[in-house]
Amino acid sequence: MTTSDQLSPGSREWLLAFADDEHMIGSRHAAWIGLGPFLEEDLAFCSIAQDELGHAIRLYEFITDEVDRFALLREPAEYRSAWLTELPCDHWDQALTRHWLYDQAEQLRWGALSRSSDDGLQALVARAEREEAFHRQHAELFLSRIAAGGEEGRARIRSALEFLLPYAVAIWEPVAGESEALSDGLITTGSDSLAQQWEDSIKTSLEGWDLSTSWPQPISGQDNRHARTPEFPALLASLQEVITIDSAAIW
Amino acid sequence: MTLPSIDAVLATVDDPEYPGLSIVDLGLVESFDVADGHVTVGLIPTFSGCPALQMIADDVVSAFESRSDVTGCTVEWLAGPVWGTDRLSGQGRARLASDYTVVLRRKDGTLRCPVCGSDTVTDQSMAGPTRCRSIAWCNECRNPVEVMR
Repeated sequence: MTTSDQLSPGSREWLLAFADDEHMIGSRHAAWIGLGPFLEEDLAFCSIAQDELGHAIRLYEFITDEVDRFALLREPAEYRSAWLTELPCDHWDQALTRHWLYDQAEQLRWGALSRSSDDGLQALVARAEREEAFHRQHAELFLSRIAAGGEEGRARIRSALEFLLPYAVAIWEPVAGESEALSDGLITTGSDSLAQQWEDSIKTSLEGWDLSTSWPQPISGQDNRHARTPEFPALLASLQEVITIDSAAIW
Repeated sequence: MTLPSIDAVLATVDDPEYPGLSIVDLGLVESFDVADGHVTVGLIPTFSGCPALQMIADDVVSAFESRSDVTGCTVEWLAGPVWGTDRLSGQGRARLASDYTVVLRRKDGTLRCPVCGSDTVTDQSMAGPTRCRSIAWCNECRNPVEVMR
């Protein structure tokens, strides 16, 4: 397994961005426990959250030996999460739409790692892809049914898409040193190509659901994932609640 | 300590979600070895986000460390292979069905009710009480059924 001192800065940055995305989206999904529109949906969002947090842990392990402290106790500027994953999305239509947009992208990111020069990463990809199939099925089952339903649901999804798409497109902003991650063989596909595949698949689904929308420019200001959303400090503070009371607590 | 006796000790460690069902029957044990009295066990998780992983590792360590012929025990969660329901033993499957009304999907995707044996079981929700179980319903005896996935 790769250890942090063997990773080039570019490869580290690529893994860090992915790990932080998984951490933040997992944390945001987990907030639906007890608040989902019905019991099974509470459980579904939280099951998905558990997987994403599990993926974050496994990815952090390639970067650090102290996963908990690294995951929770960095300065905000040291995180590399995409803004899409940091947003609260405290309406279920938004949370569901983000879950779909994100997991379509996540599938492609695992794919980019699937022929990685690192055996440990390849093994992780095999596990993650099995889990992600359930996530995509969940998102698509709901979106396709809402799309085929009444005008209120369709309007909500359309408005969630309009709000979220500029953030989702920005997930593909290449991390600093992506070319190094490619030349290391850590990944075998660059963000340009992944972004195109993602856009094609999103557009095809939206067309099928008669929810096509004008394609936006990425939200500006993410600064290669160095800048945080205004909502991030509160999210990080809530994640730190346990470790600041008991630094030996297990995450 | 011999390798067969390590296997026997592991068979006494139950999954925390299924008392009576061992981690061996559940297919979590991938490898084990012993050197100079120190036992090393390689496990694989059902799902990456399973919250019981630390508990399982702790239970394995205490099962070995209580023995006089063992100097220590290390548990490692392995990146591969990927766990699947095909790793469950026959005994594990039988116990899941009889004690927990949990079944495995057949190759053709259908389900058999563990209570009445009917084939009229339909999926209800992909998310069940744990990460590795979904919920179905028997239309014949009207019992909820859990599906290991």
